[in-house]
Amino acid sequence: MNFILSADFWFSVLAGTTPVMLATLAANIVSQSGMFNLGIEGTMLMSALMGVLVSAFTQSLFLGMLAGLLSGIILSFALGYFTLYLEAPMNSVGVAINLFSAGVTVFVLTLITGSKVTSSSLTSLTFPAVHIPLIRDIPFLGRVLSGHNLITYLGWIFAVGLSFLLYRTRLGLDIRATGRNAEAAASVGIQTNRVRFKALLLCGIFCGFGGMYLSMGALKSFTANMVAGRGFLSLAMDTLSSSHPLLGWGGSLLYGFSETITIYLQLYSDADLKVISAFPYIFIILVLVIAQLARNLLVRRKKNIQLKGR
Amino acid sequence: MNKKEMSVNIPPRRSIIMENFSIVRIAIALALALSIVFIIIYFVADDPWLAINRLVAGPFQSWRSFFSVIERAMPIIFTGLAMNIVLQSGVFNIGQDGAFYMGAVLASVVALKLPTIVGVTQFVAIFVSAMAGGIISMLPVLLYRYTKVNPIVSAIMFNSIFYYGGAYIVSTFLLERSGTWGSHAFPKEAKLGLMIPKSKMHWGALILLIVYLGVVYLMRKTALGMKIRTVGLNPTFATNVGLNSGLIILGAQFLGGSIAGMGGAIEMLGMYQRFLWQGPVNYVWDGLMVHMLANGNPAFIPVTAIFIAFLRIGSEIMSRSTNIPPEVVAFLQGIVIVLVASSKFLYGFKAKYDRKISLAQVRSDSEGEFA
Repeated sequence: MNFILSADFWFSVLAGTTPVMLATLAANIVSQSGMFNLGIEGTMLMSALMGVLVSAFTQSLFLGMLAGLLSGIILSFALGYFTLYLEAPMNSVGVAINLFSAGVTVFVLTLITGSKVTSSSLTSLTFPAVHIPLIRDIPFLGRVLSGHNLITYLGWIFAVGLSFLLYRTRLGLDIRATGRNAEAAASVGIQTNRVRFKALLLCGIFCGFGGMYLSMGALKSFTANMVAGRGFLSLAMDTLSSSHPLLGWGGSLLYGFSETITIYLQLYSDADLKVISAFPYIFIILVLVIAQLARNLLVRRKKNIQLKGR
Repeated sequence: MNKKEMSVNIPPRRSIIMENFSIVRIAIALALALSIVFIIIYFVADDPWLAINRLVAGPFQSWRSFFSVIERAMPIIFTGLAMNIVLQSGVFNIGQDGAFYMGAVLASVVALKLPTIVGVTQFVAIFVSAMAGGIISMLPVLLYRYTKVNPIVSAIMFNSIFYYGGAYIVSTFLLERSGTWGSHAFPKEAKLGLMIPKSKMHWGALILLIVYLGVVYLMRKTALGMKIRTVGLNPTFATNVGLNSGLIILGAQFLGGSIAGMGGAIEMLGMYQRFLWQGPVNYVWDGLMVHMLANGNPAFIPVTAIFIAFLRIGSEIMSRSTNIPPEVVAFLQGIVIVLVASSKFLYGFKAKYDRKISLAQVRSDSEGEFA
């Protein structure tokens, strides 16, 4: 277990956290506005592919990024359109987005590259790694904090920015009011649908970056089903953090930690692979249960205090 | 009496299309989605007519491919029926994948580790899988009851846990240490034998038929089915009329999960020589889609499942002789689910018709009063 003390380990924890963190931010903003996006998984997958394809064909990172973000936003808006205007249940639309993306990405990939599995025959671009000038020279922390992919740092900025947006601005107040009680919000003049679409716009952007981190950052090509459940995990993180972006960041760090430790354990121990792979999920469900129980206890205690105060 | 007043007395014709609008709506959604798939094929394929011909007529080429449609549909029907019960009880419980996978694992354990007696082994395997599936499917709801953890989220976690747990059981106790990852071969007497020679149709089809009839009877004709649907449609009402909602919901999860578990066992013992599922199964989404296409009526689920299986097999046959990958069906899946789910899709026609009918009703009623 010596690896826990190494800088490489903590570096991989932060790197492994990035996609889940971005997905969690997407889940946070959507559920703050009172919706539930089961389609984050598929949205990320589509962005991952589009970013790779467009960057490969135009050889422009900027256009690739734009395509990835745009496809994320389009799929998120599709969720909004079908649930808000055509009154479809959110779960079903989310499932439809996932099925659509899972199949269509493979369809497009096969047509363009001839391979069902990977886009490695295309030379696609990747987001650069960033070395932060002063921090990189700090002995241990420098190796942990510096040298990450650009999207990782963007994600950190997003997490802080999103919590500022939600709790310190007018739009954030509108979003939270809509999420609490859409009818009450509408009655005081908030255009709830417009507010929800703004939330979905941010969701699409976060999903887009999350997906592109996988195919244009962590790896250099797209592989089929490369999101591998991270979109679903983000929903667990969202519940865990009761939709607070900074807590969500903490929750996804927990996932990054358990995922990385799983990878390291598989390298260094001879226990069965499958059991170790189940570890993050068991861990998360335990934390989820404990957090939720504690929260219930807190609510009950608050009620008791209020009763006594009367 | 002038002409205008005359026309008021004639009640408008009730149109068959509008009276069965929910079914017509689904048919239109399907037609729309299919035509989009055809359009995509038309633009992408080198030889579009060959591709479409293969997609539509391919499964009818031989008995073998025709039966393979039904074989492909069987697990979808099982999960479709499971999802039907679960969704009608008002819980979006997607823990059926875990139940399905564990069902297959436990059936393999029974088939490989217990002494084989023809008939008994199969019965024990399916029974054990059904029980385990039922319990697995209850977990998210139980967890929600005591901790208020979102059941969708916990079901997703449980699916992963049971997938890894099941794969662990196979690789620790049943693994054959040679070549590819997989268990030892099942003894021939422990499998579900062939029902129709020259195909892979096994006796599981008969069990499926019994389960199907049972579910239709349960949901449409029994008090329990009525209670499940009441709890799902209006929980407040159900509580107010004195139904024990918690118990009924749990019961529905158990029934649904046991059908999914049974499906896993039957799929494994019927279609496979050994346990080979190295990846997690993804039948829940198919089950959900099939349930929605059947308009929530369990009686139609086999039809819609066979339709989906038909398209899958057809697209695979198509991909063998053209450049179109079989994943083209995903367009259809996505579009159809979204359109069928959207309650406002084609809502205008139905609303207009309803208004016309009720207006006529009111008019003829008031005519009667004043006459």
